[in-house]
Amino acid sequence: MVALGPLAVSFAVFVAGFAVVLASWWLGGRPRSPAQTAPERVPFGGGADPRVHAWNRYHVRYYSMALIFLAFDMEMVFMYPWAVVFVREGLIAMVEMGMFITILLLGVLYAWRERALEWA
Amino acid sequence: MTGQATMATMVTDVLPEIVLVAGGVLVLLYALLAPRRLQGGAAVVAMLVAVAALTVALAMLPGTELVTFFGTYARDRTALWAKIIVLAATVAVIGLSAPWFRRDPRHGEYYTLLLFSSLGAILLAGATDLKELVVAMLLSSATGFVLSAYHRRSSQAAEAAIKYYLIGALANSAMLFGVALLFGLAGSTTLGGLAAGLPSDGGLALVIGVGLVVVGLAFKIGAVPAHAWVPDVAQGAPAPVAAFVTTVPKVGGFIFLARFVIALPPDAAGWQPLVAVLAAATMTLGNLACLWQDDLRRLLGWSAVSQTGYGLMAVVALGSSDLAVPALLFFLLAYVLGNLAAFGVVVELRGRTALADVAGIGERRPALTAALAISFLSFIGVPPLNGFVAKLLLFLVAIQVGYAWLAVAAAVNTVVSIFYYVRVLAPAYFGRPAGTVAVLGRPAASATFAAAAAVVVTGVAAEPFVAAFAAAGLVIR
Repeated sequence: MVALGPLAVSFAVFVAGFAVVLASWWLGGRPRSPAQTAPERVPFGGGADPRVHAWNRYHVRYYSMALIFLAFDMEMVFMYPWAVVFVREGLIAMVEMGMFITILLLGVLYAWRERALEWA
Repeated sequence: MTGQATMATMVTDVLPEIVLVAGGVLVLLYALLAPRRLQGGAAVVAMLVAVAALTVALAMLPGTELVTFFGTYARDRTALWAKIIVLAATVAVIGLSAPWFRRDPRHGEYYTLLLFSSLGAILLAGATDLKELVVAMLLSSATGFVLSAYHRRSSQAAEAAIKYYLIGALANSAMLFGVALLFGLAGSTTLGGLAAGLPSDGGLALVIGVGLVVVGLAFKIGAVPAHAWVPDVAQGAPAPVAAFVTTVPKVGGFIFLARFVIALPPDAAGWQPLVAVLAAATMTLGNLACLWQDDLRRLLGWSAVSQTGYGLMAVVALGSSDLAVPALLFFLLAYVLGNLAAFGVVVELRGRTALADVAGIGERRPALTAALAISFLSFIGVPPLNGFVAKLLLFLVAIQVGYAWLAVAAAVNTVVSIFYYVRVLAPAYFGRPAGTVAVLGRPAASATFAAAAAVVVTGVAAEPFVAAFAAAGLVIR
């Protein structure tokens, strides 16, 4: 068998191991574990008693805030290249970024008015 | 200090865009502060903004043609005419939207989205830089998705918007890969830089890069292979939005495609046969899908696809024929006006869309049915209407540059298209009316009739328009 190479050896070991597992499973019969108690059957909740079913749908409250954060966070990325340009251009870059931030601020106002910032 | 001086002069090159940005923000502020019963006032503000931008664009027409903002933005008459068409269409769509959304308690920001979306189309028409293209595409697409889903409780609108979004995301990301490839090949993203730097023996990378960018633009203009969203959006989106999304972004997409292909090395990439095949496929597919359509809005969507195919004939001729740019501009003018009139009729009929329900409206609403007939006859290309002049120019340029087979394909398609347009018009005039035909209101009717009248006027008096378009240059550097 060694002549067949290491691949065949490992394959044989795998088959033998699988056979042992199958045999013990078949010979040993079903485990006679006692029936689970009710507390054992509930989903694990870090020690707390679960109040709803494990597949219960629930509202991700931070969802809209996460979206808004993502949007404004991505806008902030523009500040980094701008900082380099600002050193060179001065006032013009300042004015441009001012316009950009103003429009962004209006977006915040809009989100506020739409009650996207409330924990609803 | 010279930097400041040039900056100040450059800002005057983008005045219509600035008016649109400031106006869109103004509309948003209005929508924020106005109580629910006054939300409709946002339509008035938006209308004033669009008219102001239109006036500025008209006033800029006599100016010199140049590329501004360091080679990234064209201020030529082609871009200006595109802006004028886009803004006129936006004015009409605002007229259609005001009565349609009257019952929506919070629709002020709808007009902000509309203005920003037309800004996206305008930026596309002026862009001479691939990065500018990406930004403009994003602005135009993202607003379009939201507009299509504006009836957020309608499952049809949601379906239309999600299809629009998915196809758009796919096409736009394909375009990003194309932009990256072309940037790598030419070492520049401006179209002037591409024209100078693209190697004519770019090989596979050039072909793939060009193909991917064309796929992105095909999405915008509703051409094969990214056309599938058009019928769904036409059917499912709010009818005024359908009128907007099937016309306005197309203008920008067509103009950028035109700029893009003339920047390519003439013998490389084989863009001419590529666009010709796309044109033939688009018009044929759109026509075949129209044939047994039982839904007027869906039919209009597929007919918009087939019209795109005709328009692509002008793009094929770019660079080889002097008539290509006027043909493209006149086609866009004719198509936008015709489509606005047709969708305007749908809006004014309160979204009535099944062909069975259209039967007999000629008796009850003669003027509206006449508007529908005018727009359909213009789509076919019947002589006094502007569609005839557009098709004449398109066939002419296709034959001029040696694509006679394309002209023949277009002619065959035109003959086929008579069938499905008549399939709507015949019952409308000769069918028996069932019940009363409710209409929406005066602003929508005015916009519809104005568009239909413009179809006739620009058809009868086509010559000054063609002459004006012939004086329009397409600069890329």
